[in-house]
Amino acid sequence: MRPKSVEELVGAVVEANRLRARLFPTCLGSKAGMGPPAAYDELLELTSMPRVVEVDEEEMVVKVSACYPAASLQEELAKRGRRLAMDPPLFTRSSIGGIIATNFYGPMAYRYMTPRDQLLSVRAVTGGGQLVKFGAPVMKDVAGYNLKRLLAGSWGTLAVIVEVFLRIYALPEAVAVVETDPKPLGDVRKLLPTAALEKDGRLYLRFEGTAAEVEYRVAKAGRGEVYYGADAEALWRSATEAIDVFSSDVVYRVVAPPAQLPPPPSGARYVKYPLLGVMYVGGEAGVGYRLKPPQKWQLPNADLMARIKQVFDPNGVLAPGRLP
Amino acid sequence: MDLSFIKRLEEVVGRGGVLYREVDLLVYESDGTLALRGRADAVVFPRSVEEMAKVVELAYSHGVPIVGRGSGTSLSGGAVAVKGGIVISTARMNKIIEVDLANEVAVVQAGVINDWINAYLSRLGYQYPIDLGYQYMADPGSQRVSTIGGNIAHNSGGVKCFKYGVTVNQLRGLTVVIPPGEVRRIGGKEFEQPGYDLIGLVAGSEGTLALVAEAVVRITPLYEATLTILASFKDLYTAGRAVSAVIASGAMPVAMELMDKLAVEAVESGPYAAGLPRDAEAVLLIQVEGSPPGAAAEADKVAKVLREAGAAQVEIVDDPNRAARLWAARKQAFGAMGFVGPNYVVEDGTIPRKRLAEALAIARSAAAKRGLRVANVFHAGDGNLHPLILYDERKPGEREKAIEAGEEILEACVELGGTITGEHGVGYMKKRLLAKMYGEAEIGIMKAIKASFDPRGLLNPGKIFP
Repeated sequence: MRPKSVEELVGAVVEANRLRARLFPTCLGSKAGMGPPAAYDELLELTSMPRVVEVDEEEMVVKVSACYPAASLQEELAKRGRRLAMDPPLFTRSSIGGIIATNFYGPMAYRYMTPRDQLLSVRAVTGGGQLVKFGAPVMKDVAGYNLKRLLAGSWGTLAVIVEVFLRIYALPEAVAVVETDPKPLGDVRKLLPTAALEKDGRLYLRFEGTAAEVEYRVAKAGRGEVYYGADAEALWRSATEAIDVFSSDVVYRVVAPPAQLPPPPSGARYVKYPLLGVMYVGGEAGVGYRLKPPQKWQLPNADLMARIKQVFDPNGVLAPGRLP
Repeated sequence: MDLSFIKRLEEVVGRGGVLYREVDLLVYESDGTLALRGRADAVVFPRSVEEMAKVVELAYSHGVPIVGRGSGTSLSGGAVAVKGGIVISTARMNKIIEVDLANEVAVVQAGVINDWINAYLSRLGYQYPIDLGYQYMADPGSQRVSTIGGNIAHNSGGVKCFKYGVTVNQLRGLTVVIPPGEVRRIGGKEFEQPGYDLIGLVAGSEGTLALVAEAVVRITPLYEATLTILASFKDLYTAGRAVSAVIASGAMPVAMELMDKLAVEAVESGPYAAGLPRDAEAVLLIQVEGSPPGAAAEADKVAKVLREAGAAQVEIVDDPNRAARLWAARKQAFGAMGFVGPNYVVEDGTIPRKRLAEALAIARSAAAKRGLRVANVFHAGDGNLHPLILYDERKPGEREKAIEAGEEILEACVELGGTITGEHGVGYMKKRLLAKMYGEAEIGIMKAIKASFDPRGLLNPGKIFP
């Protein structure tokens, strides 16, 4: 099923409710075969929905349709001196909707937080077939329950995202990435990086800001290979994309208090965000949540989440079984 | 409320833990919302999560409304028992349980005062030669008195949220009590939890879904240097444009605050006078941070943008004592209003920042046409307006006029593409306006979630929903 308008999308979900058919919403599908498994009768492909992108570079917000490719949006923003401050794995293969639906984030979340935090407003069709809008395209909004946050990270189980307003940021004056040997967490913290990533035995520290700021931090970072500007961005992109980790048949996400994050299993490919206490392992990790092959997650407070699912999707038409 | 019920509450929290005499209840009639009162039948002071859960269980099983209360600084009537019942105060749940620097979190009970975390962290920095100082970044104007529990219930903002986000963005874990009296732990010291964002749902739910008992909050390392930029403007419109210009320039200020002439006059008339220019139509305070050279470069950049945008005067304040006085002056703006008018209604709309100048004009005219004055303080970086509409309650009808002017301003905020409340909450005062933001479908979903957590509708009844 491939709706071409919001009306058709609402119609499709309403019809699914009538028939008790189970739908699986998808855009570019980079994470469709990942995460907790879903039982469904039909793919709800959103790639033919109208493409919307409205950049407000003065207000620092962008309105964008769900299936808009993240990399294209990033290019569009760069033309105006702006950017999404997001660097999740598989970024260049992802749609904006997919990143938000899974709340996939990268190491820059240490400074800029997760997509869930950058989401200002969302327009979506609930599992029950209602077109709704939560939030407002402003930096602060506490009117009513903060339901936009529930949709972020719900893996398509509550509502089909149509369009979002996201916070955007200016391209920094200067960017540097320092590649070095891994350091203890406390030492990394003292360098005050914007973000840190460890991959295959190398530590990458990212610094952003005014040229003076970046120079100061790089000078303190000690021995290592230093990359600036476009070289820094290219290196960062390839490290955060983590294509090699995610092309493994088995992928785990491990999340722990940063100081208690276990070391990566020996020999396995991994990408680790030391400041966040998050690691993706390509191979058996023994701990954490399995992303590939799909596996049901044992979630604390699943009963409370089930109540929320029941409210948004009373007939269980959206990716049932995936969450909670 | 019958005495046998009081007695059962006392069995849970101890003899001194329940107030029920009329004279004691009087002080719990109001919160920071001067225009609203409501009398509870009893105020209960649990000492622990477990006691809190037992109190909730007792009240819930008897059909008694339950209103959570921290320091009672809510500006939307959040802590007022408009339907009677019991108030559960977190005043005795006031321990900082743990500060875990390795994991950059603090674990606190709900009744801990926001600023205590920073006081604790700065003492820590003094006692031990650690290289990194830390701070809890969500800093509402009330932070010297408001509690973390209350901040979470309202998802409070503050001046630093332009860079660091609001309360919900600082939360790693919560311990809550949900009906009919169950303790739940959500999250912990981890950066993020899989599944639906229950923390995000509870934060800002204004005590209508759960009572917060404990929280794990993010603490953030401090940079080596902060600098304050003080700019004054000959008119509000230019000041509004300057705010947009700073944001569009790519600078990342920690805070960006705007005060108009009347607000400056109020502050400068009181004990927190900091030497703000009284002749300016608007004063902008900006804070930047970084390494010593980085912060200096950022401050220069911001100052340049401000001058180009038409600021009458721009000054980079490098004396930290003077900078601290300037920021304290801003934070005391609400309290200083007494110097320019006997009473005020404070509104809390948020708008797209580029429409600041328009919103300011609307606020002025909404007050002026009712013969009232309005002082304006804004979290300009977030587009969060706080028009303070001055009135005199001794003059019949003025209070109503002030409330009416406030509602007119908030409706205009929605029309400008913003919201009716940026950080104070809907509470009792704004519930009529929720329908300006949301239609039946959205409000229906919110109410259904409420019903699924609180089927008997006893948690902070009469709030949020029209």
